[in-house]
Amino acid sequence: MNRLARLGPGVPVLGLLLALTAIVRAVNLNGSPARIDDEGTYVAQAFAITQWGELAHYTYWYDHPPFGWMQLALWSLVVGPSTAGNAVASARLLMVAVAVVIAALIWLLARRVGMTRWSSALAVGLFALSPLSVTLGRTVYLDNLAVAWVLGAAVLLCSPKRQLAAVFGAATCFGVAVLSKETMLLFAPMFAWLVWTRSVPATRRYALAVFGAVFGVMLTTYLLMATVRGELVPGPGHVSLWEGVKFQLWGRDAGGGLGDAYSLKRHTIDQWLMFDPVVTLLAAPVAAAGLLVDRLRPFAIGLMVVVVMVIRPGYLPVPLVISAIPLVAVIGAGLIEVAVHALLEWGIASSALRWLRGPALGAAALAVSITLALWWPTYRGLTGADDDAPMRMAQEWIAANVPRSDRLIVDDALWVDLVRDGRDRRNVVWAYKLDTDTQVQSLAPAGWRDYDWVISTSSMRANVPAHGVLADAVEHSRPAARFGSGGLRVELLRIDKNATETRTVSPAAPGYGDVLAARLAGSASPDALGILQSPTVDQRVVAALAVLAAAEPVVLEDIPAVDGEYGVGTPRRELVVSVPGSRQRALAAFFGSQTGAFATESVAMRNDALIIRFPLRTKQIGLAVPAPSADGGPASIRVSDLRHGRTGRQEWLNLVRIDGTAAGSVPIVAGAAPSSYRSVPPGVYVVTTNAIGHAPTIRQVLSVESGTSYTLALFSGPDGSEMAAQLAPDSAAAPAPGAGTVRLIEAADGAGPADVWMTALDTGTRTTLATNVGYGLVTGYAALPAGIYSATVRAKGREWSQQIRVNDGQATTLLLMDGPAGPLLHPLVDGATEAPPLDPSALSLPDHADPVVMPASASAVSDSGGSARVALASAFLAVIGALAFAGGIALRRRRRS
Amino acid sequence: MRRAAAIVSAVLVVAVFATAGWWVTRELDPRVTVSVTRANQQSEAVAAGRAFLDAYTEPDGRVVRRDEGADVVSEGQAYAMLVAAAIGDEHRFRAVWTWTADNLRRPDGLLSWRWLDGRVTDVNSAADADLDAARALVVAGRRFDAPELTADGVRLASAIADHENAMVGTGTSPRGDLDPVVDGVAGMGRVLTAGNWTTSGPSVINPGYFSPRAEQDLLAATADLRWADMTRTHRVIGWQLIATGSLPPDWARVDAAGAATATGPVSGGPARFGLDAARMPVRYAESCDPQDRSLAIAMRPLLDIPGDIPALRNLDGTPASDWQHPVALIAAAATVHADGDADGTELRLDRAAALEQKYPTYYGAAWVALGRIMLTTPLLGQC
Repeated sequence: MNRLARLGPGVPVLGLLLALTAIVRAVNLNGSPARIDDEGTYVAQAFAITQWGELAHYTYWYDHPPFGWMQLALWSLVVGPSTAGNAVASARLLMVAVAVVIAALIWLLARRVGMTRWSSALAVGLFALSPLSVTLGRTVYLDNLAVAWVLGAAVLLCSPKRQLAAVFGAATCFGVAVLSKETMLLFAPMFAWLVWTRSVPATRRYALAVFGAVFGVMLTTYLLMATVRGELVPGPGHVSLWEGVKFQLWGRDAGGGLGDAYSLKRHTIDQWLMFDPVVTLLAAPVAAAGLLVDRLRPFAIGLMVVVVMVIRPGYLPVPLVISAIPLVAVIGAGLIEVAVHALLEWGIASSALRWLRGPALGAAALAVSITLALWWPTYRGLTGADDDAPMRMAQEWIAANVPRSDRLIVDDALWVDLVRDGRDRRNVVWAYKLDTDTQVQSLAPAGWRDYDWVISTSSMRANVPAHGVLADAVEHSRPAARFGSGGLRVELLRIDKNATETRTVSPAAPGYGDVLAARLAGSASPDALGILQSPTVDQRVVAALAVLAAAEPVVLEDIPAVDGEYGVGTPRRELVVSVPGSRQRALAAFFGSQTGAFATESVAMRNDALIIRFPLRTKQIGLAVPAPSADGGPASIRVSDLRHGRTGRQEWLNLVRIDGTAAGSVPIVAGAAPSSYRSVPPGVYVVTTNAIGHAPTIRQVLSVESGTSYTLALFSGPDGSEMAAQLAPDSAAAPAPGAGTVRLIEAADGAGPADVWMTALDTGTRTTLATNVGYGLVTGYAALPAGIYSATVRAKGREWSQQIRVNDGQATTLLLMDGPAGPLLHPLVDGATEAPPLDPSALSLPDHADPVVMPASASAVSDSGGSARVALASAFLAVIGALAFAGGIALRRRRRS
Repeated sequence: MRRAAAIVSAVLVVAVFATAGWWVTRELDPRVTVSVTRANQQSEAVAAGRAFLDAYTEPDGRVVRRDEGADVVSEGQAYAMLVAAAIGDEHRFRAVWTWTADNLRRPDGLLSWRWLDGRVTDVNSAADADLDAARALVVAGRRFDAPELTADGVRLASAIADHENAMVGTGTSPRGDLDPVVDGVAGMGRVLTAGNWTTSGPSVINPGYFSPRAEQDLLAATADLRWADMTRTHRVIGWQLIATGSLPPDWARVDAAGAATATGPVSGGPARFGLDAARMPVRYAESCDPQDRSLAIAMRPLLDIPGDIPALRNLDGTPASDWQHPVALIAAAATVHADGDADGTELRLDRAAALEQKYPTYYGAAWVALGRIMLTTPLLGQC
């Protein structure tokens, strides 16, 4: 007769229980509990095996034997690393399958120790439904894998045939269990007892020796591995197995005592009690009572060892209880069976059976209802809560907003997904390693300054050390986005590296939005106007909107905050304008073609609206401080185009007032001669440039003050960008009588770094204007006695001189440019006496353009619905499998009978 | 027959024991879950509300400011109505509203703000009281399934919209006047004035009267878009008042363009953040709109300071008094609440309650109750 068939009428019951085990774990598998750091670590280590053939994603330091995550690696090879939406979710599918295996093994074990079908079913039911079992069973803990091997070993040892092969297999299973999670070694006494009691008396010693030898050989592989790697004992420059074992046994924080309400140990136990007080509180009494029943005694010993480990002073790992749950289930159900049996015998013997029924029924109903009432609150969260949503949303936000070149300090729960998203593994750094791994520290010699972001999660916040790189990084950061609230919140903290090159994005200062809103009133949504008037709007949005309003009749619809960026101080960086359909593509192209500070993250067209989003990271563009006074007479401005390789294409420089009105334009003339001074009212302007017939490019924001002359020098950008403009005031302080002032604008790129000095021809006095200056520099003014000077330029070891006149009371700019025979100084007279107004505005957006439309947001993360579907599909398959299994056995039995 | 009786008995036994087990366990379960926390917060809010009503409400429905000359003000009546509606005390709600309507209601539908010794001593209205009373009536109408209360609330809301606000904004001035405009409300706006007595010229406002949740409730009840205009305008004015890193003042004036300037009280004195303005962060923190909560968050750096929190501040945040008041602590709690820190909110609310217990006042008791109700419970309505 087939062994499975011998299981008898219990098979359908078992099938249902296995299906139940799968269903309660698979429903909302990825919603609750939220992913945690430990899960991510095991998954990342498995990822390291499959991707790089390494035992861990960082230096493997013998924290745990690696066989646990080797099994995870095998699973990921079968199902793929992100089948269920993210790496941890994929591994959780394996946990569901393992739970079903454990449930089946509990049944087999219970039956093999002589428990009836109903009490075996009770044991499986307790395991299947305990919220503690479900919560920790969903979580990617190595203990789940190890417990399956432990139960497999126990089932083999309880084989009715008592063959030596079973002992051999059991020792192998137990060895695998310990190599999966070292805490399983706690069950050694249980197995010793089992081997002793379940063997034929004549071969007990032999069986024990075989078990010990095989188990020893299994463990030796771990020692052998460490030896082969030269890491068995401590030595310079490498980790060692000995240090790993020492850390696990004595190196961890003790965790405090049970009596200390604020100790880590108490917190862990409170967590267990929160999930399931029934199993947690029953463990100790069940273990004690189990010692009194022969067939349950070995398991009671195993459970008692775990209970002692919980009570003893020392570190208490959260998942330790996972190994206790199946034992509580088996022993608890076994004890109930014993009690019921005893009651029945007593009832029959004393003829009181009739009178016992009522109280027994009541007691059973009471026990079940109390248990369910205690389980109910946890189940509500397990089935309905989406605790992982903040992690998921944070992941999506990172994909859309954090450049791949940025270095992130992360919770390991996100590590694999971020690396799989295309980030360099050196740029995705597990927070724990910052202060503990010298290899990681060597990659960041400047400490926290070598990182750009901290992705702060619950487990990271709980483990930030008092000092070190992580503490410094957190201290020097501020949130850019936040998802979720309370303990589950995930904060995207941007590290401010230093004060001078701040990466903190300031909103536009009060006033700019007000004047623009006043101009747009009547052609904008009132709500959007209200937002524009708040100090919550990105400077680029205000400037770009001003340009748009000056060029086109558009309707401002909204300035929404990007999801997660509400309330954390990140300015609103998205703009929604209503545009006639015929103009949408041209405007989309206009925004899509912007470069430099005004480059967009995305431009999307939706119905009649254009949605423009600027990237998160930016530099100040000049609207962070309040506008200067706009009172007084006009300012004057001239433009000097000093860019490399300018073609003869006619270009215009357009000034747009920050209130969205076009102020006028100046033609840009390449070469040494700047434009003439033009009169402009004092105020704040957005500068755009455009060639005739081409879309304008938004360049920068200028602030000009009453009565001041300015030179706007247009240089080629140092980073390959087309233009970097500098606005230099021309009105230096009035020189003393008989003196003039001179400054230098360095626009000679061919000569390389240059020294420039002036030597008075009459006195021979030498005045240095600049030393080792390069292209793009505008110096301040130096006062010189009026007269004739020899101006000398020294570059690349050569010198060029020419005569320059410094006039009394006059400011002069020396424009250093490349000449045919070397650098050449062009004197320009600074300061306007009378300046004509700007030309009429040449700002216009092209009629037609090829759109440069980018997606509104990029997401590297699948939606939760997808993962939920996978989880449900897995559960469905598990149910079908279990029913098919049960049906098959039942059919087979029927045929045989 | 016997068998049937046995089955019925068994079912009864199971039902009784199962129900008893479930009920007893749920009652005695000491674990603190989210729902338990919420229930605790609610019961604390209800207890605080009951304490306020018990201490200051007369059986006839008058709310007496025992520590302020034993007068009756429309504000106190409105607070009592809000609290009673929130905690479901219909009897007390009706008593307070009946007394208010009988004794304070003006011909234009607004409420006279002060009553003493059997008569109204100042017939003018105070807009905060009117607004809170109208909101309370709408909430009560919903909660007590009483359409007549809702109708009263709608009437009062209409009176506020007709008589206690002013049109402001750049849209009210010719375009040429706007150049250059620094402050103001772009386009057309509408601001809640301090009362019926200041609706022309630069209007006197009290930022602590702005209440986005009340305005939202009244918009929903009346479908009168003037309430949406007010909410939007108040937000703009709120930002004007705090955007430069200062606290909102107790009193301000708003010109025709909508530019707000901090002032002292009408009776004289410096511009300060005091017990009036302290209500502003609370009212904005309870809003369902994140834009409003952003305003409350922006006040956190100045309001939520370590150590003792003074009752009065200069607008730059420096102390202007060496005494404390629960409402200042509740203002700090509100900014923390808006920032998403539930534990921090509780801590500060508890401190406010302890201070109120030590130095009981009418105003402190009212705001300890309202602070808990508004910030930690959905008793005045869900978002």
